[in-house]
Amino acid sequence: MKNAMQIIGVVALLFWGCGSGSDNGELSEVNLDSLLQAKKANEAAKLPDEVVADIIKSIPSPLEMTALIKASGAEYSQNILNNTGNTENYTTNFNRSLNLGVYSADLGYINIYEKTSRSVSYLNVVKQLADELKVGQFFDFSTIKRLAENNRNIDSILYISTSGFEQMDKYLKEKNRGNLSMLILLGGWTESLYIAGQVARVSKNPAEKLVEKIGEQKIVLDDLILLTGMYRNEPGFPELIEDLNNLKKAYSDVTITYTYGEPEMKEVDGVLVVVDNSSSKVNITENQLDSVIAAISALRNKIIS
Amino acid sequence: MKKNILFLLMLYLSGIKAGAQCEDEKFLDNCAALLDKFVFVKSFNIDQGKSKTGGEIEYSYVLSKGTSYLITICDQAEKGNRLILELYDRNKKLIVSSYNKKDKKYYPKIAYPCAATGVYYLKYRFEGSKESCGVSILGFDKK
Repeated sequence: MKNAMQIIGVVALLFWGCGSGSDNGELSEVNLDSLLQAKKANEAAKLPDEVVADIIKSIPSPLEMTALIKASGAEYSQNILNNTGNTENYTTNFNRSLNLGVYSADLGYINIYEKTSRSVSYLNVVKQLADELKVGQFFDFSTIKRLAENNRNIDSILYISTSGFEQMDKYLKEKNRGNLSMLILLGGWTESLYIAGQVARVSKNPAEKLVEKIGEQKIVLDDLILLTGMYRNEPGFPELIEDLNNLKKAYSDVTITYTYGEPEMKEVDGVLVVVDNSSSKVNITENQLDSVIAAISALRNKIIS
Repeated sequence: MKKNILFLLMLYLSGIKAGAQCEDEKFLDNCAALLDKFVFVKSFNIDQGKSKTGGEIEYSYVLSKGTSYLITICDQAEKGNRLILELYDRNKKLIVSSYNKKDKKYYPKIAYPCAATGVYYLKYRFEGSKESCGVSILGFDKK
């Protein structure tokens, strides 16, 4: 069956308005000091909208991770994915957004493996959560479902879904609901890293490319911590940030080394093709990989529970 | 005087029209069609009117080692005001430009098989000073 459907946790967010504390002129030095420190921390956490949007835009699509998992030769595993029956547990916009990202990444995984009979049930929960978040209008679910059921062109399905996410992102930004965008993005990234981790864990000799890909996520994690920090005063975020910091600790000794090489260019059938002579190498030990997998599993399992 | 007002009005409306064209779904669809077998990842809108850095618009994206990317560049095809993309690496070293100065050639597609994971910068600018817009799309090879 040559078909699939995928929805990526793309997205963006807006800004975070910082509140101020009371000022009664009778604060002790200690209180004043702590207030000033808190204010400093808040200011550091504020980023201009354009910067935030740029960071969000720079986060890689979970689709890339999923495609690599399949390319590594790993077998499809339904047990790894979040159960569609869990949706009734997601009663707040915080949980709905995170799990919209999770299910979207799952859908990508299912369809990259061309398990189309499964994709429709995941598409339904994505629709349900998107509707509950009032962003379902950006996805042409009927067309996507029809294409999936008829085993039509996977690229068309991916395009419709992904561009739908971009429109949703834009809308959420305009409506000052950037925190939800952020959570959808985080949910998708977490799920794709979790799936990669599980594939690596069960494999006696995981593909080097897959291990490197897991190690590379250290680059993305720093940005995600920066973004979630902007919402740390909102419900649910402090615990999320703590879990992300635990993941950061697991990544602390993972290093990436680079070697520069002058690029070369050639034209092939009217396309300018770059021959990249630079290279990078992720240095990650087995123990470090285990720690990363444990930390991402803890985070992911909290998200879906 | 009337002629001047009319001219300014036309100039203003042509600006709106150009911006609207680039935000049109069809414009995006046509640009996405250039991806061929590459999977759509992100689109980048380039509206010179919204640039805060003297006409240049910059985006960044984490490109991954071992993945082949294709970047499409779509503009209004106005002579003297073509859209140019320059791709820079994590150290802001130029990798490639969609405009070949030597041959005076504009490339609508750049293929980049990435060999080093990291943050890359996509800088867009129009060669002329006229306000214009365009779209650029990043895709990857899922194989």
